[in-house]
Amino acid sequence: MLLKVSDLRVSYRTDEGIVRAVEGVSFTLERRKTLAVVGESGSGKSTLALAIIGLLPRSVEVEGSIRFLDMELTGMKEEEIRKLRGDRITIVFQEPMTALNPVFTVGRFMKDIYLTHREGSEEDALSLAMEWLGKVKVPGPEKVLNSYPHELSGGMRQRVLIAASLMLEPDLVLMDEPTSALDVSVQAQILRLIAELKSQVSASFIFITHNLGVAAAVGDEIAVMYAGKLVELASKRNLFEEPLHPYTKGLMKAVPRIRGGGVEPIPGSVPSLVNPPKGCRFHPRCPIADERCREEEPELREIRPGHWVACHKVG
Amino acid sequence: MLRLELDPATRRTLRRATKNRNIRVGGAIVAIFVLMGLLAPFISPYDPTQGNLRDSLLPPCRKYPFGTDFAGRDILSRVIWGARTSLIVSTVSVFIAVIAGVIVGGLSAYVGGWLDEVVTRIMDIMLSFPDILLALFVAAIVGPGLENVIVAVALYNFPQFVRIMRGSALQVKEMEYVEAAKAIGESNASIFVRYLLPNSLAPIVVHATLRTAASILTAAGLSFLGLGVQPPIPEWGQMMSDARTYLVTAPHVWVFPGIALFVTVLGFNLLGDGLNDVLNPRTEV
Amino acid sequence: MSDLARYVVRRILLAIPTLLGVSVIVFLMIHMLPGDPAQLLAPPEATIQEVEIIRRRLGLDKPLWEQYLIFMSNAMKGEFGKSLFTGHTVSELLWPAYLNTLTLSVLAMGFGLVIGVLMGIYAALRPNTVRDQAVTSLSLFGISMPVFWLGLILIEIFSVWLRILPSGGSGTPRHLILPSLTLGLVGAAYVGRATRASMLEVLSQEYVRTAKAYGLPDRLVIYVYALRNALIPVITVAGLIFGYMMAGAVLTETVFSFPGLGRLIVNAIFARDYPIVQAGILVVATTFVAINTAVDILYAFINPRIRLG
Repeated sequence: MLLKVSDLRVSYRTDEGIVRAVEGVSFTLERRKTLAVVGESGSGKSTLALAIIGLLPRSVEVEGSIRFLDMELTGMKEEEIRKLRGDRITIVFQEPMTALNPVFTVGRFMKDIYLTHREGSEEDALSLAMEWLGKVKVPGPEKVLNSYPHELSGGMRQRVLIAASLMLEPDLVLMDEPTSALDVSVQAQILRLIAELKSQVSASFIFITHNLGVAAAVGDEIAVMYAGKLVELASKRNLFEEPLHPYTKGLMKAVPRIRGGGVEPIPGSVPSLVNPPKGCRFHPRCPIADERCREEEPELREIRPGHWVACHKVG
Repeated sequence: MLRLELDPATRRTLRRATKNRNIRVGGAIVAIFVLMGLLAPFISPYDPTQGNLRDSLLPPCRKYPFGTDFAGRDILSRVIWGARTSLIVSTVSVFIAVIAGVIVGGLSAYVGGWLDEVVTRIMDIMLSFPDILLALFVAAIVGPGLENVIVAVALYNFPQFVRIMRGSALQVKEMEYVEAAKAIGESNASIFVRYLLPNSLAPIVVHATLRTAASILTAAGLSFLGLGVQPPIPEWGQMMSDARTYLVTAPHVWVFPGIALFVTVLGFNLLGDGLNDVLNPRTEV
Repeated sequence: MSDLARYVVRRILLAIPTLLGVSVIVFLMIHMLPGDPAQLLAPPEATIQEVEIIRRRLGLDKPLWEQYLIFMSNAMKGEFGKSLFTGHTVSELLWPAYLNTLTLSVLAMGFGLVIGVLMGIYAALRPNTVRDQAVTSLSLFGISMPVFWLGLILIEIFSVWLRILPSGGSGTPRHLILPSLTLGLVGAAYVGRATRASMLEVLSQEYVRTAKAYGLPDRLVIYVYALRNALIPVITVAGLIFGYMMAGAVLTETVFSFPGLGRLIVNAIFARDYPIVQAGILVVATTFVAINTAVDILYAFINPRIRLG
């Protein structure tokens, strides 16, 4: 087992009150597997990624346990987790346009990553960077290496970041909506590239997306988050063959399909994380909610081997 | 009794303004400065221009809390009256610059074309005289004196307000509601007053406050050099102009007007910063 | 031609009309003064005949545009005629004073940049804490400080009390310390404010988060990745402040009896020695425009994005 997250809770203070962005999330991730985390914005999925890689501001409280390679990441000293970042755990962010330093070339950035984590010369760094730019299929790796970010398209920058994330052969790669800011055609290319690279490296992936279709394209397992909680967790096959949680079902109806079938958005919106609804957090939007759902919070239960769901109306 | 009906946004801004520490401290200093200037004849213990030569260069004492200058004049009274001079010079010159800047900048943006081109060029040229140099240049032409300092400082402020007004007018000009107003035949003057001016108000208020601080410094600088307000009118910069003579013997001669000048400028800068925080929330951290 | 070269050329060309405008205004000064220019440029005791001779010699009987061309062609050669009273040519007086002011401003800028940038970073790294508030207040104090008053205070401390530095004059490097410190402290206040604001902005940028996310050490993230970006706007501010210092030197030089350009201009204004006033103001304004142009060009070198625009 590479990663074991148990009862993870993330909260921070705002003027409106305490925001509980992640509430009691648990899951495990095996080597070479991909977990796709699906949820609307405000579901806490990005916060989850930032908590794992230790990038949340100091004022944010992280409780529970994140075990990674026999290390406990919560409460780890900044200097220790810094050494893991970029080396053992990497992340690709949503916005390729702003994620690269405008005043440095791509080569400079990749070289700095290498020299931070490896003993080696600048030449080693640049040749490895070049090799990986080739693997992510940028046209003319050498030219890209000497380019400034503004000289590259969004898709090209995202390829650069993917190359940077894989260059040092990490154990865990977090991808936080890596295609959402891109044009649809570029999105498809990048997704194909990620799928292809996955089979070439030994890393595990956590892929965060609001799009169930994208999750299906890359995930081995799929976790559905709602208002800071994990509501359903299953293998891709199980989830798509038999979604159990009403929210998951709603998401599936909301996915646009190429052939027929209208989109049915889920009525209502994600509740406030300062004052979440009592009972099941989804009950105000749930078509089948009853009295119990309004009062009692459902636990995440294993309904079938490997298929977990948090709903009173299931099983 | 008349009760002001304010819309919620204005009320929120006001509430934030009263809570802002910079506005409170700066506002208090500015209020004291303004009161000092207005009430100078009533609160100053002595005549600021009449001295008693037998009391020349006395250090601070019971009779003269801030001491006396070479002519035996009470420095406290001169500091109080100096506030009046600074108040007149800074407010009048900033006021002139704001009015002229709003008209020229607004027209330049609204009419556009060659007029805008010419105005922008001229402002670039004026802004090529850094800081006090433009005021110095004007003072060299028009000579010293209270009115001339006002002209010099107004001219030094003028291009700043043209820029601000032009910038915000350019923004509003393209807005749909202005297009709509034009389409239904609203007059240019009415569009100017109803749309362009209100939109520019916040930056102009903030900038006018900050420029008042700069103007007080510039006017005092000119007077310090001897090119500004002339004796016997009490003025803080001018009071310090022969300070070098009294460095060792009578530092109180230049210390007190300096404190007054520094604190007043600080007050306007604090107020300006605070207003900027409240009126332009995007700059908040 | 590369983007960069094109940009540099365009930016230099852009400065020319501004400089021409400045020269026209400075040239017109003598005609804006109340009274007859020939009379103003003649020694006070000159007779009517002598004034006429001066009028012809200086070309003041020619049309205005012709006078301007003469003025400009002389100015290009660095010639501004003769001082009306001292018997020296203007350039004899101008250039040594200019050099003094330039030295003073460069030193002050050095002080200002070093202190200001360090203060700004120091504050921005811990926003809204006591140390940030201390720096913010100090900068505001500096900006509100009358530069001549600050000079007097420093003289009182270092020359009158401690007796370790001269209170005025020139000739040795020690004479430069207090004037440049005075100007530099005010400059530091502006630079500090600009650096803090810009650093705060940059530290919240995604590329800084990316750098952290890849484990780059703090000193690399802050002093290289963030600072390099944060200094871009600071450079513009620094250019403005440099001009500010050249002009503000008028006051500082007066306080310290320092024989610089500002002092020369002010004395010339008192003496109504107009050729010196004109030349002095033209030189300061030209330097200011030149520095701002240089800053914009430097900007393009540091910030690769601007070369496109």
